[in-house]
Amino acid sequence: MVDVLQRSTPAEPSADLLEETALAPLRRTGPGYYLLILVLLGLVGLGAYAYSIQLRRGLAVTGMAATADKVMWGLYITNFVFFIGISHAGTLISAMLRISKAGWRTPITRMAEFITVVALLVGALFPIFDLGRPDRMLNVIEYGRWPSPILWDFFAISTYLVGSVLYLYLPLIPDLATCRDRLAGSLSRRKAWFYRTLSLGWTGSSEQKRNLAAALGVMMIVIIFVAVSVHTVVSWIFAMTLRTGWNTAVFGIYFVAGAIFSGIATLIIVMAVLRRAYHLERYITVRQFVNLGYLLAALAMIMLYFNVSELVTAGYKLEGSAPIYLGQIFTGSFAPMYWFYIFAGLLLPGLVMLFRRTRTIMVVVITAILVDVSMWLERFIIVVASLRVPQMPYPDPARYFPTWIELAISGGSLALFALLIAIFVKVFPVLSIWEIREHEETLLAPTALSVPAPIGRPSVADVIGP
Amino acid sequence: MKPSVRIAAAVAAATLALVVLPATASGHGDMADEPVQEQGATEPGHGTEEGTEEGAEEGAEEGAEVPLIELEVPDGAELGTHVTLRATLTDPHDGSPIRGASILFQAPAVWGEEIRGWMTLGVATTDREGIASLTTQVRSSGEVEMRAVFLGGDGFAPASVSTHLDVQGDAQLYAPAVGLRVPWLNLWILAAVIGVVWGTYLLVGVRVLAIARPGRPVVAEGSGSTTPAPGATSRRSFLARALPFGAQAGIAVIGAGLVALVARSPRTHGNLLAPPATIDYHRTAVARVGSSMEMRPMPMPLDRPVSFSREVLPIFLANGGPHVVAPEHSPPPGGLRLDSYQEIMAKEGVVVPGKPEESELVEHLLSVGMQMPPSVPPLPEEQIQLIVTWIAQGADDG
Repeated sequence: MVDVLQRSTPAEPSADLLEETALAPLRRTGPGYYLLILVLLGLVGLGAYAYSIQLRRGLAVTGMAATADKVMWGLYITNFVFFIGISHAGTLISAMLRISKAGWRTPITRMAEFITVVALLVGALFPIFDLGRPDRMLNVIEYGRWPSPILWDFFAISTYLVGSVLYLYLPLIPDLATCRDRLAGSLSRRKAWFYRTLSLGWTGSSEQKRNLAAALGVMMIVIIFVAVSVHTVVSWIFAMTLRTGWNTAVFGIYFVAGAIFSGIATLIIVMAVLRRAYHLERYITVRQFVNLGYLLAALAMIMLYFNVSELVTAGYKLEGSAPIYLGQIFTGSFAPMYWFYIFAGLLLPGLVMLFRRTRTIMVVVITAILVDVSMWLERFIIVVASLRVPQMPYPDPARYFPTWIELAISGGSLALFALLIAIFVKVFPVLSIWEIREHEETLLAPTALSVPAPIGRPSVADVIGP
Repeated sequence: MKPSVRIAAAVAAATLALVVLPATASGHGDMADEPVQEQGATEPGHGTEEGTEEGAEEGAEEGAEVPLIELEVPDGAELGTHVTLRATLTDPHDGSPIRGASILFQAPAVWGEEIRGWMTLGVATTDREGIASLTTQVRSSGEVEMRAVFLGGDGFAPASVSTHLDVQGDAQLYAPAVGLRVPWLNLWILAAVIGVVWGTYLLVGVRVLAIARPGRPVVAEGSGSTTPAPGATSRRSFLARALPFGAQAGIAVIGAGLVALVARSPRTHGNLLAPPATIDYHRTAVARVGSSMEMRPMPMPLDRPVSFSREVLPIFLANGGPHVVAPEHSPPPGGLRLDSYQEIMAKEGVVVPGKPEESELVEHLLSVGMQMPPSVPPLPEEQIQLIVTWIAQGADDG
């Protein structure tokens, strides 16, 4: 354990290599990239086609129709919760690491932050998919009543979206200036204008640095509150009802923890893909994977605790329909999903991080994939298993199985998520160049911090940390 | 089927028939020796014809007279206030009041966009002057139609009359009575939280604007030269310079919009801009019949001796409803059975020998709010007088 946590001896400052690595995807585009974009576009198109059918024929084409009004939320709301959860990858993790001045975060913050924005954009589509009449989304604005949790969601998600765009953009400014300057010769007019405009005339003056540091210092704190509120409110959409399985006070913190958990897992997966695709091995090392793996393991234990806490209190009392609900997740039709979630999603991350032999990039990535799958299943159980619990003395609980329309729309959305990330990394530097550089400089000059900074002009490193 | 059950069913069927199905409801089984609409009848066994339920205006069975019915409403009313509707039922021949008749008071109701009908506000019984009155809350404004319906019976055919009540005002009447009201814990807190977060975004935006502000030429550290950095601010177009301001304005607009959404959001629960209406919204539209919870005066005991088995018990057997059903069918309400002397006396307080004013039985016969038998006109005064006399004389099993 010690060896990975120790700061590896930094190589000599290699600003050019760093810039070269970070800007390489912006300079060159291989045929593989276009192929990927084509495949993703195809999947998105399939989803769009499925949605056009749903628009024409209504929600009758979904599996929710077959169950009358009993399972009224299915795949769409499951995906909504899942994507909003993933969105915590970014901002929350990056903000927490920035506040705690964890230097190893610098190569991965950018990825984390754009996962947030993209996941939010995709996740926010699902409540609209879940409406047979999407135009009625405007009723939230026109007739919104604050006692409705939907309105809370609207507040929280719009606030989070704007906040995370800001939080993504702020650390991008110096890197956009780098793009503007370093790519100057090779850019089309339009692209040059794009970088020139977005970099706001950044020259790296101390005043600009001071302003950037102040803005980041505020945002990294505010965004944590906003992010926590978002997933709490998403959980309250469930917990504010008197339904078995949802009616519990633990849901807020449980969802927040689950969101960070699945967010970290997604970050690990995206990191692994981009590292391989863009040859970032020098910057994204085993250290980032293993440190995130530790975070994953810690959150797995927290999640396990919440599961035990929630289900033991419900199972001890067995009030109302609790026997039906617990029966279907422990031994009934949801049991395979549930036990997969417990073993592969919660116990495994803790186990693999215990042993040095399994603390490898490969194992951490596989674990992260299992965590993401099991967290999706967990959301599916929360949504569907609770809705199946009969509210009326009907002979059979409702059966829900998604139709191909729902599967296609969900798959298309996942493709859209990948597509947006793929486009993003072609437009913006995937590494936070200036933060990595500052971090490397700090490591090279351990005494640098003891040199008093000019009064009133704290450096970015002073405020944000190495 | 016992009489009271039958009567209740008949009234329900009649109401339904009037509103929904214009069909006759007759032939209530072989025990129908009493008129359906008579509800215990002024004179038991009196052979009057059944009232029809063919719709109040449709006329009646042969021989039944259409009574005169008048409906009196206030000249005008404020929305949400209570008004008293007064219907008078008189015999068309001699103008004498018809007493003891049930009058339904109704107003038009719309459900959704397509379902319309008459909503019954309440039922009242005509008094000695033939007047039935009902106090109700007016819950829609404009020219509201009010209707009084006599379903027929006691030799009279059904009749109805309607008139308009001019209702002013546009108050929102609905507000839930649930929930806690905690001082200071209100929507302003939510608005303030959202405002603070978006205000912080604006402050961050100000920093971004400061970064974008065209500054002095940058002095490269150590070199002393004043070469402007590539892409210096002067080269940026007007649009590029306006963009951060536009983004800042966008943040301000969205943030202000969200705060405004909170402030004006609830249309039905009172919001920050319009506190809940002060009108008494906790009262539902349940009509109150006359002045409720009153006791009618107790009749004076008769001078002659009254026999339990010949005079009193038949009243109980005819009107006792579930209290006289054999217990194997279902337990009697409140555990009280009225089908034999032993059963009546078995429950303490029901009959206090010698003291009719303390007997619960008499209390229930005379009460308006807790009247027994329920949902039908009270027992005729002569019958109550017999029961009171029997109790006053010691409640013997004679």
